[in-house]
Amino acid sequence: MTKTRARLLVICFVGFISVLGLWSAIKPDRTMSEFENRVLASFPSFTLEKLWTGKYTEQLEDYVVDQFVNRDMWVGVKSDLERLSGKAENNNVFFGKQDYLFERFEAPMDMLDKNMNQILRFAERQQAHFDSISLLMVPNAQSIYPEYLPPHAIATDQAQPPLMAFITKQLGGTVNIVSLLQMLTEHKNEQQLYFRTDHHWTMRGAYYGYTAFAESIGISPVPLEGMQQHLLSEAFYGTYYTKANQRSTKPDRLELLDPSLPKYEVCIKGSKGCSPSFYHMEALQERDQYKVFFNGNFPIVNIRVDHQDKEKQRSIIVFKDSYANAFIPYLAQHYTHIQMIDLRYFRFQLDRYLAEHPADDILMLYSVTTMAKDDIFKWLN
Amino acid sequence: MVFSSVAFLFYFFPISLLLYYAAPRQWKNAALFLISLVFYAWGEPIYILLLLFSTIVDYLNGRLMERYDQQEKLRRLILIGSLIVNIGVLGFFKYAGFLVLTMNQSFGTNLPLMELPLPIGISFYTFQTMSYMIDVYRRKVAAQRRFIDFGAFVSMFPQLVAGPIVRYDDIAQQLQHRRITLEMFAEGIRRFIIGLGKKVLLANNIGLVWDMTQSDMSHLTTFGAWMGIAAFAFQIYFDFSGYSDMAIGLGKMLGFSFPENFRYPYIAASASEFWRRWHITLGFWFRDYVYFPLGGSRVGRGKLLLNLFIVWFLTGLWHGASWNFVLWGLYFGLLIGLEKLWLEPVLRRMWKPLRHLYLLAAVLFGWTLFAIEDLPSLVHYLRVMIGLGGEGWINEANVYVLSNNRMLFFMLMVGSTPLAARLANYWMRSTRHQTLYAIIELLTLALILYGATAYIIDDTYNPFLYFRF
Repeated sequence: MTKTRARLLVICFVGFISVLGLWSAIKPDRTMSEFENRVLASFPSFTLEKLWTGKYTEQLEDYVVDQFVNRDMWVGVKSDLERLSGKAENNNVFFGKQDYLFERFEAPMDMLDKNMNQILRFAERQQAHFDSISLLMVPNAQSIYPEYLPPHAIATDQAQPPLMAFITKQLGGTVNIVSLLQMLTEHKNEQQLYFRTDHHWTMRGAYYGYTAFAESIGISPVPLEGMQQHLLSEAFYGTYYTKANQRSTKPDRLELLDPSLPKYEVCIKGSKGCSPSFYHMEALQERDQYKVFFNGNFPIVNIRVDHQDKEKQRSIIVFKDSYANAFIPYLAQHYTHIQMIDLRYFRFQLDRYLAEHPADDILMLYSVTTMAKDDIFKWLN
Repeated sequence: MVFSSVAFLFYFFPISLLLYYAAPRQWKNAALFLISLVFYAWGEPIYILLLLFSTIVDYLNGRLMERYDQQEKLRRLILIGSLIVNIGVLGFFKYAGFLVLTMNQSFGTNLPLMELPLPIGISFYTFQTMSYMIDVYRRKVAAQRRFIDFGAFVSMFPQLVAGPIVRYDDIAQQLQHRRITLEMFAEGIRRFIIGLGKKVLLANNIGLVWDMTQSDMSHLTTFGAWMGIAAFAFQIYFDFSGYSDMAIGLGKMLGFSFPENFRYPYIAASASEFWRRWHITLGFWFRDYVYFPLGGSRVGRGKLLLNLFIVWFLTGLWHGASWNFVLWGLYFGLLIGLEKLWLEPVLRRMWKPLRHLYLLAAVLFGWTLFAIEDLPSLVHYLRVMIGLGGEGWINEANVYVLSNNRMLFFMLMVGSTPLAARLANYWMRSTRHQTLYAIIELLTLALILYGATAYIIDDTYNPFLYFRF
């Protein structure tokens, strides 16, 4: 190596590591990464015990990784390199065709078994007190659009339709299972039923969920044509985007289909006042624009609608995950009182709560992913 | 702290360099000792005491041996005492649990198990201090009189946790006088970046393929099994040799020349050759301190087999306190024994590609012993590899994984041979465009560093494979 070459290499390398290190150290910390949609590690508090156990240095390492200068850029570079090297995925999110992103679904059967048993126990106990108890399972996007997955990727992804068939077989005798696969597949080419960059369904997807549910309990669904359409956003980047970290991904359109309703109010239990609308337009300024529906998830939300028709003087309890948020506005066309309960945050004694807040119907609306992975159905019992 | 982390690369190392180069010449070893202690304490806040204990004991033993230079018996006694302490420490922290478990399983006893976490790098540094004591005893080297210098040797951070196993003999000179040149520093950087790239860009990524194979053994196909174990072979080679490259590079930046540890082991054509190319410093250690003292191969056939058995039993056991590592070691001992006794003449007459094929198959089989710890899974895996009891020859998931990693597999295959290095060397020597060569080399290194940084920052998978050594 000649002197000049050596000097150049030394200057570049030592410069690179010391400048980036120093810069990262003095730049102000960020609490949150919008790009990755998560809270970043902050400077750890010091205790002697943490030092002895090695926990302190561990936290310090997390801290410097999270607060590295231009972290978002580096995370994007890694994703680009994965793609450049011919990989069809990054961080378990597939780069699909037509700009679709899909998250690989893998779930051990034991959690699903456990959850089904909880639902069964609950339904058997409550059956007598309600006109209907229904379960609506929302499949993931690749169950409806498998052709958009990268070639052969389907083999490494656990298919949800067989799981749904299994659940139907196990619970079908006790619970009214609303099957969505056929309905969604029939309409999949009309309009986008799922977001490309987010795990949720669009309001149009939710409409077919509503149709299937309504028909299953003998309500005739209101046709889509009469509803007002609003384009809320053309720059929605969802959760898959924040995992795949591909800046070149095209954003989603977020569309509102507003059913015409009489006056109604949405009351979040524990917060002051009620809102006259399902939609929370301030959320459009945030990264997670899906929060435009109800501004996110809460333990208990009460919706009262001023219906005059006699057959609409009914009430329903909806146990739900976030998929229900785009679905509820349609349901409100048929009930004067809807109680949304999110079991992830609900910590009351449920049987007593139901006795004190009676209703006519029960709907459990969950994504198959939640049913197979989340340990939340224990709160039913 | 691993080298391939933000904390090391962007904080610990620049600060260390600053301290080390700011220190006046006579303080450099002290600075190095201090830096190394902080480095070790960072990951092992308690076991730093063990490292210090080891260092102090063998420093004192070395001094004692020097003082009683004329009393052969006493010197022998000191050596034995030192070996007992070293092997005792290693045995207690690394093998006690394993021994108790084996006892309980074979004799139905019910001895209590102590679950002690294994101190990182213990096998490396106890082997270094042992080599020091033996060399002093053999009068190959003089005892080190300055504690700081001895401490700097034992704890020297570049090679502390994953080798190469640097013997006192290798760097005794350099501890007293070393000239650090700009060229050496630059060469160190080049070596470090290449090692970092091997670890972060290649080994970590292919490691995911092995992880996936291992996590779903029930749907194994024959192709998937071969691809999986090939992925493991690539992972462990690029991880381990990448670590050695980084260590050697860091050493150079501090003015030390460490011995080489890997020389393209997968291009070997026999098991004996493989072990002359794989983890070279460990092989030399066992050769010089176990195999030769036992008589080496200049003994009768029966004694030779016994010697090979002892050496390879220990070599296997060194890699972890579990029977599968012993099995792996003995397997190589057996192959090498067979080669020495009968196979060598046969192999020599064989067509060269066939010899390489023999070695690769032998090594891949060896890796299954190394990587799969429980016997039923191992048997299942091996059966599937030869087409029995799996889910067919190949499935769509295999196709997906292969297609996803096609570039990676290609780079790993090329990188396992000296091809790229030779081409670069040839070009450098023959070209008239030295500037162009220099620019391309610099750009390549910059690109590797840039990419590795991105992967370190989005650190989804960055394992440390040597926690059992």
